[in-house]
This record gives sequence, structure tokens and C-alpha cells, in this order.
Amino acid sequence: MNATATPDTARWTPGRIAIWAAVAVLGAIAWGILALARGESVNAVWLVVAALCSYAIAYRFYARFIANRVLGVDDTRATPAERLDNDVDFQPTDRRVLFGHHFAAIAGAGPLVGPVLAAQMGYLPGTMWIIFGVIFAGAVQDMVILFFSMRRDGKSLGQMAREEIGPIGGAAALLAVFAIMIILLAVLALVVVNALADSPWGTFSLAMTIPIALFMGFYLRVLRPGRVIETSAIGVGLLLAAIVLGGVIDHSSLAPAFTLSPKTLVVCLVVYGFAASVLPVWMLLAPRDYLSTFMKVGTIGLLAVGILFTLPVLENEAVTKFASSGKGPVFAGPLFPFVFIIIACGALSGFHALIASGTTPKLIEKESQVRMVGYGAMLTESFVAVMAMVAASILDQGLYFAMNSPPGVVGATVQSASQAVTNLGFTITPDQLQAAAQQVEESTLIARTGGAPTLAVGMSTIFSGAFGGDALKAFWYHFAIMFEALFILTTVDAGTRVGRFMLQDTLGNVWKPMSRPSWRPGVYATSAVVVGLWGYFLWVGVTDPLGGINQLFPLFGIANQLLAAVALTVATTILVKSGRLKWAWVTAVPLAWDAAVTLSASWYKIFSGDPLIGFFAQRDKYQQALDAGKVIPPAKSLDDVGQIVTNSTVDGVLSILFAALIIVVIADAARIWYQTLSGRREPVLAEAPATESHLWAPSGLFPTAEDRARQAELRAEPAGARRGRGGGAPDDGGDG
Amino acid sequence: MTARLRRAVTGALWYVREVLGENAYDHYLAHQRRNHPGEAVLSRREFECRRMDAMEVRPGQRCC
Repeated sequence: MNATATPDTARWTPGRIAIWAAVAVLGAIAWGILALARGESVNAVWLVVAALCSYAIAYRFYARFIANRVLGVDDTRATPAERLDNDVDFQPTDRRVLFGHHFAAIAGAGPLVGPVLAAQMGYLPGTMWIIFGVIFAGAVQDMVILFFSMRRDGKSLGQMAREEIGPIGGAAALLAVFAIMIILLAVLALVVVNALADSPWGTFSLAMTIPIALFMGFYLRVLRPGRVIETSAIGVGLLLAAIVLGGVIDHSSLAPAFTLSPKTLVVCLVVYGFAASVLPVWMLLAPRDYLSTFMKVGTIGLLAVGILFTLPVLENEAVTKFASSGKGPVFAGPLFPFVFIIIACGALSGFHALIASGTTPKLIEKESQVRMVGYGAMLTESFVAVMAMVAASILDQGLYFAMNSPPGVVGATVQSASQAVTNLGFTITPDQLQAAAQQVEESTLIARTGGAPTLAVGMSTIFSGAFGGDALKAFWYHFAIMFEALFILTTVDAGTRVGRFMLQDTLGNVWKPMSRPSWRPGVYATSAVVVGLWGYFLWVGVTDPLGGINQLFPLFGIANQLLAAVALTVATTILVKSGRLKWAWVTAVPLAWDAAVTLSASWYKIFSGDPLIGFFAQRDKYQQALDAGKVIPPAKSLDDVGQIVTNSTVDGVLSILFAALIIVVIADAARIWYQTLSGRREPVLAEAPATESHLWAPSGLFPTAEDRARQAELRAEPAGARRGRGGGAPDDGGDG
Repeated sequence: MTARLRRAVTGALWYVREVLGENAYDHYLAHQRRNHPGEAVLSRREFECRRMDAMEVRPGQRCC
């Protein structure tokens, strides 16, 4: 335990105490303003201040406590990157670079979509969950899984579940991973379809990313191997040109060719997903990934600057009436548990456990860096979610509900939408709706569900306020749509491929050739199965008369939180087995909360008698109508009614499956806890043996004074005596 | 002042190159020199092709 010396020697000088006291007071003031404001307008900057102050305190105190006391990070112990360094998958990587990699891998469209939907209950419940959820659950999960996987040479979550819990828990975890992948891909693809439907501008610019990516792939492979920066710069330039050109196409005779119905878009996406999964990675997947990383970091940075620059005022209420009634049009169900399901990414995302247990642990230089990489990257993603909440909450609330209610509620015309919004208790005139659509040069903004268009309108308001004024509003709207669609497609590419490998692996146990990556029939067959599965849910989501997003998004949230339950169960089991029962609450409390949220949401979805919420109640209602030969709205025909019956049944069965998986994993782990604690079973940990480390690196983002002294010392030594990364990382001092 | 600015620019450039993997070949050369001195090394083209093809079996996971 002596190796934690670096962070622990930081003394409490009066200056430090004053700074932290100031951060605490400022954060408390911001939270006070957000929580107590009723009726008066609140500036969005308070959301940002409350978030940043809370993150700072959590990172400085709670994350440090977990790293030093609970996990016992030990910098005298060599990490797998140091021990197994092969310059391929194991490689000591600078902590700041690894933070960038890890953040790029965990952050995507999820934290941008969830908060937009949750804004229907007001900005406060969602924001509180995003911030406190990340501090006590999400970032904790990411960090402890990263640490435990690192201690096991980078084992995956599924492998850890099998080794630490048992074969049943392990199998349930694997099934959970596969199921969530399918739902995730379907929901994300649905967001893209809803954003691009009948929008020639958006469809054209997104379609252009395919030739752009192909060109970049060719350039990197043949013309200038390895020159990633210039390739990405060319790609981003072409992308911006494609957005501008999209505006021209929009007004030209070519527009009808790019005006696609949702169903056509589904077919395009499915064909694209299959092609991307079987083509060599260098052609499409890798260059698209570079492009999307560039856009992701750039746009998120731009959004933060835009908010600070324009200081927008929140139009949303702190807590709307839908929080208590549970009858909101965006998604049905009461605040508990549904806000905590709808906002998964950004607060607590089980999917991250797959990344924290895959690549990152094999690259980390020092054990103490799990705090910066695991906890820190998740705090950053949470901040992205807070900004999405800001973007959704600065919109006129009439417009927000006109955009986010399903077509069954708002109809298709500005008159019907205006009327529906009035019935919901907000006001927007048909003219205002028309003007809002015209401003961003879209034919309509009514029932543009899925979060992306709302976020895009919010972002275009912020961006055009900060840079370029109203004239650029349409450009910024399509820029935002493109940016979201781009990295959703990257997730679809990578996810389909990962799903295909999982399937190949599993089938390979039954029939050997299946698991060979070079056996083409196997590759095609498994790709087709994965694409077919998410394609089915996507098709269902697009054609569902009840509106796909409000049916499927809760399932996605439940699946994601289910994976978090698996991760937190594995972590708790390891803490119990390694004799750290007194610290087990660090993961057991978030686990209990997560299980309560997920299981009660599943309960509602399975048993609720309200057809708006419970899948089986919904099924019964429409089955009766079908039996009686009656068409009840929003269905327009008996076929629609039959389709609702099928969809509700599938969704209901999935809810049962997810709930059963959680119960199986937790029950299997509880058996191990009981056996360990009652002394019936000698705890066996699958940890790799400790080896002395010969490598040194700072643990935090900024090196301390002692770190700098140590660095100077190391630099003075003869070069041969030093091991570690080459390539000349710049001076760690200076930027502190 | 200019020295600080220069250092900031160099640092930022280094960071972008590292994150995007533009330095991967340099790291490989250093690794070979350190651990397998005297052995033949791959050309940049061969190395980059191999690195890209390795992603074929281990695609980077991308989250939501």
C-alpha cells in the first residue's frame, strides 16, 4: 500500500482549503438556484456550474477514496501493459492519451439522446440523476471494472463474471451483453431514421459520408499509409463541404431523390450495416471512426464554448406536471423509475463496462491512473449529457412537445400539432411551428422524435447565437444532425461487427469452422443474423403506430442498466471475496439502486394495467379490439391493430427476459457472497500475481511538484536505465 | 511567453498525433530497437497495413 505515496502526500495548505471551500460554496449556490427557482427564469450557466463543482469535489475526494482505500491501487505493482508489453494490444500508454481513447470509446449518441427525452419531466430530475448518478454509480462502475480487469490482464466482463461468480452468472452476463447490443443498435438506428426521414439535406450529407470514408480509407491504405491527421483533416473538410452542398441539393431538382421515407431508410441502413460488417475495416470502418472521433470532440467542445458564450436562459420548468402524472407524451410512466431508465448513458451506463474491461486495461501505465481514465472519462461523458439537457431545455416548450410527441398524438399538420400542444398545457401557434421549421429549412418539425432533431434545434440556437447569427441556423441544424448520425453509424458499424464476433465465438463451440474469422460463409451468415435482429426491431420501431421511440427507448434503458447491474455485481463479488466487505457498499449501494430501478421499470412494463405503460395491458387492449374487428386510434387499420399486438408481445417477452437475467445474475452472486462470508467456501480470486514495476508515471492529469522532481531525476539518469514509452512525450511540467 | 506558447503548440500536436495513432510506427520502431535489436523491421506501409488488419479481428468497441 506504500505506493500510493504520490497522491497522498498532498498537504492541506490554507490556500488549498480555501480553493476547495470556494468550489463547494459555488456548487451549493448553483444547486440552490436550480432547485429553488419556481417561475422565474434560470440561466443555463447554473446547470454547468453545479455540474462542474460537483464533479470536481467527487473526483478529488470520492474517487480518490475509492482508488486508495477501497481498491488499494498499488503503483509498485506492474500493470499488464508493462508486464506483457508486445507493442500490439498490451502497451504502456500515456495517461492523457489513454483518457482520450477511452473517452472516444465510451461517448456517443446515448448521452445526447436520453436527456432530451427526460426533459419532458423538467430539467431538474434529469440533471440531478446525471450528476449524482455519475458520481456515485456510473463513474464508480467504470473505474472499478477498469481496475479489476486490469488486475486480471484485461479480461472481459463476461470472463470475469464466469470466473468470479460461476458458469450460470457468466452465461447470463453473455446473453445480456448480446441482447443489449441488438436493442442498442436498433434504437440508435431509429434515431438516425427519425432525423433523416423526408429531409433531403440531412440524407444527402449523411450519404456523402460513405464515399468520403471510402476515399479516406484508400488514401490511408495506398497513398499515404499511417498519415491519420492529414487524412482526417481532408475528411472533415469534405464533410463540411457535403453539409453546405446539402443545402444546395435541398433547393434543387435533385431533392426528391434524397427525400426518403422512414421505411426506405431502414432498408438502406440494414444493407449498409451488412456491407460495413463484411467489408475490410480499412475501407469503411476505420476511416469513419477517425472522422467521427474528430467531429465528436470538436462539436462537444464547440457546444461547451457556445453555452458559455451565449449564456442561454432555460425555458423548461424545473419539474413539469408530467413528473408526477406519468402521462407525458414523450415516454409514459412515473418519474421513478423511468427518468433513471431513459437517461442511461451519461449517468450510469452498463455498456461502458465492456470497454473498461476490454482494450483500456491493457494499455494503462500505472494502477493509480484508473482514477483519471475510468472515473475522469465518465465524468466528462456526464458533462456531455448535462449539455444535451441544456440544449433541450432552452427550447420553447411548445416546440419541444410538438417535436417529441409521437405522430399519434400531434398528427401531421401544424394545426393539429398546435391543438395537441395546447391540450398538453403549452402554447405554440401553427405559424410559429411553420416558422421554426423554415428557419432550419426542414419541411416540418412535427413529431420528429428520437431526440436528435430536438438537440439539433437546440444546438443550432446556441451555435447561431455564438457564431454566425440566424443566417447560419439551417447550416448548424444540419451540422448537428450529421454529427449525431455520423457517430451513430460508427456505433452501428462497430456494434454489428462485435455482435458478429460474439455470435461466431458462441457458434464456434458447437461447430468449429464458425469461429474462424476467415471463413467467409460463416462471416456472411453471422453478419446477416446480427443485422437481421436489429433490423427487425428497427423496422418495428419505424412502423409502430404507437411511435417507436417511446416503445423501444425504455427497453434500451432497461437493457443498459441491466448490464450495469451485471458489472456492479461482479465488482461487489470481487470486493467480498477479497475480504473487503466493509467497503463493499461502494458498489453494493449503486447495485441496489440500479436493481431497484431496473426491476421496478420491468415490473411496470410487464404488469402495469395502464396500456400506455404495460406491454401486456397494451396487448390485451388491442387484441380485444382485433377480436371485435374494431380499429382504435392511433391505429388506422386492422393491420395496424394486429401489428401493435405483435409488437407489444415481443417487447413484453423481452422485458421478462431482461428482468429474469438480472435476478439470475444477482442470485447466483448472492450465493457466492453467502458461501464466502459464512466460511463455506475458500474465496479464490482470479487475479494475476503481483510483479514489481520498473516504470514510473504521474497518476493525475496534472503532475504534482513531486512528480516534476521525479521526472527531472529520471531524465538525468542514463537513457538505458529507463524503460517506458518512447516517442518523446512532452514535458509533463509546465502545463500544470 | 513565446517559449510557453511554443511548448503548448508542441504539446497539443503531440497529443493529437498520439490519440489518433499517427505515432504508432515510431513506437513500433522504438519497441523493436529496445527488445529485438538487430532484427529487420517492417516498412511503414507494411506496418500500417498490418495494424489496420489487426482491427479486423478486434474491432474497437464503440458505445452509445
